[in-house]
Amino acid sequence: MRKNMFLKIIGLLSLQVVFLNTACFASNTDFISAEEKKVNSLNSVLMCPVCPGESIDQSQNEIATNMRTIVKDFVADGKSEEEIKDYFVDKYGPVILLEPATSGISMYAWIVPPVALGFAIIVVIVAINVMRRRQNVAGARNTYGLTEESISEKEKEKYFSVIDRISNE
Amino acid sequence: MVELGQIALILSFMIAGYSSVVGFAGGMLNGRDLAASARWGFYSICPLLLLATASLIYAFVTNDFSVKYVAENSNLAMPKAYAWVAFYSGNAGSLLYISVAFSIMAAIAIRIVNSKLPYTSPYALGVMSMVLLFFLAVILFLANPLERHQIPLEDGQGMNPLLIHFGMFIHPPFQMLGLISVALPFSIAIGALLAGRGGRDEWVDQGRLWGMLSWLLLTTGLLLGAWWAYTILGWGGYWAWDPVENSALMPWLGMTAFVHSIMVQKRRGMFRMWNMVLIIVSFAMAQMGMFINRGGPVPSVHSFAESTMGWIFLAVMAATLFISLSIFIFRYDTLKSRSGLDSMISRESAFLAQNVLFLLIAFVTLWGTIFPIFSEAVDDTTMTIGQPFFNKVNGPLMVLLVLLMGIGPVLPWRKAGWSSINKMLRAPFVVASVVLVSSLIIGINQYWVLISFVVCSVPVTTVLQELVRGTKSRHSRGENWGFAFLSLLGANRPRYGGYIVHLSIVMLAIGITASSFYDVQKDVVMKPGDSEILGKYTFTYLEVSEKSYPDRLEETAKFEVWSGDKYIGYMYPYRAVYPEFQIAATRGAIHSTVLEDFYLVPSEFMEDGEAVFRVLINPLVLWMWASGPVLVLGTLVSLSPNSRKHRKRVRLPSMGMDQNPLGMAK
Repeated sequence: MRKNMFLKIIGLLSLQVVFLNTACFASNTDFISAEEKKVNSLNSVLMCPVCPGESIDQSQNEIATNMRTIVKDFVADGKSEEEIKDYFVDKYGPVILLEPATSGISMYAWIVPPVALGFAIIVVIVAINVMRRRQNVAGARNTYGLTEESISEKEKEKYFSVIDRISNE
Repeated sequence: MVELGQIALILSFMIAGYSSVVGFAGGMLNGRDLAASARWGFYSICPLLLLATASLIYAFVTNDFSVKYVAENSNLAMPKAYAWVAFYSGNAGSLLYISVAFSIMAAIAIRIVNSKLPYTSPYALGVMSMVLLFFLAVILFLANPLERHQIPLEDGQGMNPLLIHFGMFIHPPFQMLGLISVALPFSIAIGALLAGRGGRDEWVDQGRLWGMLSWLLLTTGLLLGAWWAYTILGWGGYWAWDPVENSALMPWLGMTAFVHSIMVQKRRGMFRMWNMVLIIVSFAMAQMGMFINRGGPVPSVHSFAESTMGWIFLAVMAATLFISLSIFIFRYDTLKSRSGLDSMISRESAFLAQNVLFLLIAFVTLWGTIFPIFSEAVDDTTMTIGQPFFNKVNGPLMVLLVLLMGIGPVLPWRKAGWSSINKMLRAPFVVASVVLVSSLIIGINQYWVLISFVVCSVPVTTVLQELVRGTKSRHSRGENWGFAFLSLLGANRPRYGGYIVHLSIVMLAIGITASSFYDVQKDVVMKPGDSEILGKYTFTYLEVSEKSYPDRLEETAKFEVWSGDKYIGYMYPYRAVYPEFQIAATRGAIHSTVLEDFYLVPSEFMEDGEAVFRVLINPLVLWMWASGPVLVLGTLVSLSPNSRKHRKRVRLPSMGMDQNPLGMAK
């Protein structure tokens, strides 16, 4: 019975997921040429100089339209992404890129997030350990002569599962 | 008429001042009459502010351009219904909107809080009054929407045309409401800290209730904003990591962490300090949002351009943060946990990890938003940090969050033994593997899409597993399937409502993943009569029609669209040019299906009859919008009170607990 149910869930879910995948497969992006993809990706990393924060891809401004044309022409000429970016950076300065560079002071923009993630992981582990130690101290005070060993792990788990279910219901 | 509003504003300012002083005094002196006086004073602010609002709207409707704010934000051509939008579309008016909305919400909150938490209530009222006092002071002394001009004008300047959209009736009000409503749980928390009576966890239910309502408003505001951007801004996207969007996201992240961790305090009496910190930080982030929105240092399309009062908001934010953290430290000893953690792997730890992860995303978002200021100050380098950065940095963290969302809820409280972990996570593991394999077979080869889909399958499986398990155990006790399912949902509404919300988040995540990685975009130049093909869609540009309005020129293109052999119909994308504003607003025409959106938007109409169109196919976008109602439903289920009648009596079992471990009396 349980196994049956289990299989049913899996079946149902797999179906659903396959359905979702088909959706993306249907929207296969192959009918867009590599050149057009390159233009689109460049458009979304270049900022429109007069509309702060908006990429030229987003902006309806005339300057953005002109810049899109320039990008398109450059790509058609076979220029590389770097060359095109450099062209705009020379013209407007690094502000024009929506993504900070990976050198100089901009590097810190990239370095800090992973460092923060590492820090967060350490904080969680330390916090959990501190709270566990506190629990053990408190636990030792309240055992009324019972030691940790007098209840086996298995029994404890049984109790906890009951408590858990009560607090869930 | 506006003079009447002015008087009402001044009166409410004075009453708010009275209520804050007397509220605190009532709390400290334990004076019931003082507290009641402050409370009734606060209630009386609502009608006064409504009167001020009515006078402003009346000025809009009657085109009273002698009022400065009306002249700046409307004109004769504006449809009358937009008086409501114009009311909050400028800086001064939005402050009035925030004040009136907050006064009403706070009045309702304090009425309920007063009956549940008598000791906390006067202090909470004091804090709320101070928040309102601040807004009223800014209105009266810096940006008064009811102020008159010296010289009356014939016609107004009109509203920013991008705001003339149906979504504007709901997105900004929800967003502002969401940001200011964070003040409610904040006031209750600080009130409870200050009162220091009535038990350590007494405020939790009220804090959770108002925290979740605030979270719901914030979420709705964000989703509506994304929907507005998608349908009107004409670039086919919905989220751009613009500074103001970021600053609305940050308090949402904080509040999401809060509504989760408050459950740990409710169930286990833990995380007492942490919850205080979370709500204080969330309120600071909400203030930060209002700061950036009001002419802060970071350029954004959303900000009220003319205003520099953001700095006042920043100063007040710093002061709030300082004072509330001082109170926190002062009352530190009242916040010790009832118990510690039993194990590294337990639901408590999962909650903690999830909280930290939310704050981490908020921090990284803040970091990216303010980094340009930092780099300019330190190194004189001006730079922009936009969408690509945030996608790369926050995307993986959000995937991690979804994974945790799948695992956390099925871990038991206290301690998870290996056998129970094994039992709970076997199905998700199998399903995730099936998803991985089937995705590979189908030809999904993008790294992040694979990871995201596999991760998304985990919460779906665990939630369904929980529902099936629970329904089955009720069914085995003799309830029929449907009833068993409903009574299961009803038995622990916070939990199962939460599951529904989790499912809606998965819908959102799937929509975001698919539409970010598999969107197709193409710019095409067409003459009337031309046909083009994109994917399975064939579209023919038939004609363009021009229509002139007093304030704008509208050019509407007519398309005939086929999807494969299936005739879809005509689509009418248009572009409106507002000469006075030198703004062009485009509106895409969207054909939405469950699988994908076909999106047409004009970029430019040229003299020679040619026109440039942008054509997009965005997969699964509808899922994102559909997640909204599901999310609201889940939140409401989660908030609906349990009627006591239905509570089951639970007896602790004796040791033999194999068959009916709870000894449930049925």
